[in-house]
Amino acid sequence: MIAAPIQKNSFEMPQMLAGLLAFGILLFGIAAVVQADNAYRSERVERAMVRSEILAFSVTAAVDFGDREAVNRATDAFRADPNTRIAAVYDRKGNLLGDYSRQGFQAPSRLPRNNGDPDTVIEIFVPIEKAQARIGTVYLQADAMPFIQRAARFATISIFVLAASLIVLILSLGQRSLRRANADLAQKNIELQTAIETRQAAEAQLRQAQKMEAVGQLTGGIAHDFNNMLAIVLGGIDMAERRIDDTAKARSALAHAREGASRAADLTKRLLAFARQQPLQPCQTCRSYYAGHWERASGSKRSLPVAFGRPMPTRGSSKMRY
Amino acid sequence: VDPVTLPRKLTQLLGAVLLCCTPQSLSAAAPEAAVKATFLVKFLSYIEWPAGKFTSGSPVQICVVGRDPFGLVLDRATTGQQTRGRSIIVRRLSSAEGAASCHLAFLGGSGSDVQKALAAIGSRPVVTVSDARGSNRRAMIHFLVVDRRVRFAIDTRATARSGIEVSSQLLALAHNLRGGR
Repeated sequence: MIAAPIQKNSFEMPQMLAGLLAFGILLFGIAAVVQADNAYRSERVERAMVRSEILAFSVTAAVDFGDREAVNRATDAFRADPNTRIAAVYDRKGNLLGDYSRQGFQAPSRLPRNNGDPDTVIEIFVPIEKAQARIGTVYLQADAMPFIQRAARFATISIFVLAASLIVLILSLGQRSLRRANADLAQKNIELQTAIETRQAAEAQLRQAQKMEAVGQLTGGIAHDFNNMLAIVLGGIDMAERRIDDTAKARSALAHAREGASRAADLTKRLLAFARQQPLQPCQTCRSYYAGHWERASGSKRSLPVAFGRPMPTRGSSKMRY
Repeated sequence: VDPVTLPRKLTQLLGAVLLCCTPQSLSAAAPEAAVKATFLVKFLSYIEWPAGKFTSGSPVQICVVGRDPFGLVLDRATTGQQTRGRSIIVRRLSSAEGAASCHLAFLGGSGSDVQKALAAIGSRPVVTVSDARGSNRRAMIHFLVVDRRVRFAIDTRATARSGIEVSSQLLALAHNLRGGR
């Protein structure tokens, strides 16, 4: 595989985009949670407000007539709401007329100021009016949901948003390392390619050298053979010259020379066959032929110490080339 | 919506002034008659008369028929008060004969006086109020004293006969409708 050219910029861009995307998701999640939290808080305040207004309306006559019993009956309805700490009704002068207080809380005997921490407590003041004149005040104190509980309310969406941004980040990091690994691989591939080429060149050189060596040896061998035959030819001609008076012996020596020349011709024929890659043509050779040569070459009458007798391979066998 | 915006001392001063001057604070001093007088005035806000009972611009009339237990207290309770944009006047009548134009009539005296007055008024749209003790004859609204506090009972059948509507808020305060007698 050929590695595509690696551009440095092509990594950085998706990386930055992924980071921005993760950041965007996180921002969106935070905004959604904050918005939902605010809506929920204002809804709770709104609800407390509406209840206080209903109470203010329903106790108008009771406050007007100073009927504490009726006021208490009206405020007792808040017992049903576990979030209400205090629901109290004060007269025009700010004196407590009647109240419902959850266990652990007590309505102040005078109308309180608005001094609670708005994060932990909701305080509502609603005037009780009769003919546009204020005749009293409803004071409602309710639990604002503490931050932990509100956070728990939005835990699902928070976890989802965190997970989404984490996935995006992890994916981008994974992609980054993948790209790095790819680049490493491409680099190694190039190095391998170079090594292979170097080795191929070296092998070609070696083959050339071996070829040259073989050619040298072959040439040397042929030259040696040819020299032998030339020696036979030259020796025959020499002997013929010296025994020119004895015609029969001169003829015999010349015949030897001719034979040597013809063997040289055979050799060249075989060389040509080798060069043209022609099939060899093995033939039966008489033992006595070689024995005669042996006698002349060695100058003794000892028989040729070679055992013949293995059958010749068939003519034209492909195994007998060269 | 904090109503206590003035310094505390100023508020106390204001409270002291209110204590002297308002009818409600007079009732806090607790003569029974004073409480009843302020109640009479307050009843007006929670009662609907049939259409045609009021002519435009006319004041609301509180009549005291027969013996008058209030005296100046009732006049003080109505001074400067308004109900539905109308001023309040007090009329004192020796008998119920002229009570037809009254909006609210307090029937003083004993049980037999109350009975006579009720008969005279009949089913005219007049809110009748009584406080005669030891008598079965009761007007539409009847004052009681329960646990040393002034309470009242409302006869809803009588108000319905006269075409008078009493606000549910006032009914909720009525002693008899709350389970008392």
